[in-house]
Amino acid sequence: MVLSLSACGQNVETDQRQLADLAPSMALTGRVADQADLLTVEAEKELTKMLANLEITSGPQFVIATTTSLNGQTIEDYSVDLARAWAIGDKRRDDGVLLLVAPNERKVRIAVGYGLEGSLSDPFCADVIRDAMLPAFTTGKMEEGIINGANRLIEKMQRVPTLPANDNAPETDAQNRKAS
Amino acid sequence: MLNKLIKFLVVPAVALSLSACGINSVPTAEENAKAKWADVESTYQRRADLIPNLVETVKGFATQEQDTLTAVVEARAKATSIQLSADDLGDAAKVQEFAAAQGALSQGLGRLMATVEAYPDLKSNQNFLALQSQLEGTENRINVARRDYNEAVRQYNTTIRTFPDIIGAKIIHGAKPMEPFAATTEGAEEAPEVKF
Repeated sequence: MVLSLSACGQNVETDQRQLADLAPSMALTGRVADQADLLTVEAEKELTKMLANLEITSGPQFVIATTTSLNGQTIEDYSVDLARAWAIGDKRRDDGVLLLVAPNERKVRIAVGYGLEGSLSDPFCADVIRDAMLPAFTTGKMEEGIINGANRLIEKMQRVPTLPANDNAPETDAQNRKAS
Repeated sequence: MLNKLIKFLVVPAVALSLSACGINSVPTAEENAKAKWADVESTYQRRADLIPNLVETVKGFATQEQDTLTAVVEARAKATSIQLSADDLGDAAKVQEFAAAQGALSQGLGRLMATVEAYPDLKSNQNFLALQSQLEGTENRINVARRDYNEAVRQYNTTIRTFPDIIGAKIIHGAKPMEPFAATTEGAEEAPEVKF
């Protein structure tokens, strides 16, 4: 019994450490987490509506975040850590996408779950940043750049949904129906 | 009656303590690390798969860069010839050899992408832009997969060295520590970033 007790204690410890490692560096305040305050209230509302609609109709969970600081990390590492800590996307489909803008470091990144690579390929995302976002960003129009980029990404994900055909209901509902 | 009662109590107690001795936790941690290694290998393979197309595209524009291109092709051949099976993950020399070959390829690719600056037509070529973004994305996937593997190795190594799992690890599984994967040329794998 001594053995099994000490084993329990140890497991709890490891779990806590892992949680600490995953602690997000900024709060997930909604589908649009505008920490750097680049968006007007109206734009934030409109984008939130579009993102919610995308998830319901097509499946992918898309979060837009702006951060005041990358805390000395590269934007690649920061965005992957954030997307994981927030657990964006359906776990099984791995269809989360994070659009992260760091105005102070002047960096932008689209982090894509493996389940979305078919539609949001590297060349496509690079293209979205280069053609739809950077031209606005370089002239200081942050909101315009974010909206342009979000529109291109949403349009693509709607054309290639990750939800199974003829199943537009959120997963939990589908399971509830089966259970009852 | 008393006998029955003792059996009733002892059996679960033994089962509990066995499960606490690393009977399950050791192989679970080991399989996890091996699965993460498979991810590392497949991301490196993904990078290797991009190179023939990249070389062909650059060749058409950058006629002065034959040496750099040849170096990349050779480094790719070397890197893809070294395979590391999951059972060799405890062998520091083999892991090091694999890392060195992939590191050499990273350096070669870094040099190739740097020369591209001198060819404006290539830099704006759609095919090249697509390959460039795929290469950058894949370098990032390699970094993430490597980080995940190292974390899994750290957990596995901690498990087999910590009481009580060490009992099962030593006596039943004969578990050996695994090697973390260190990038030999850290700077060379950093993909150029998009700035605005």
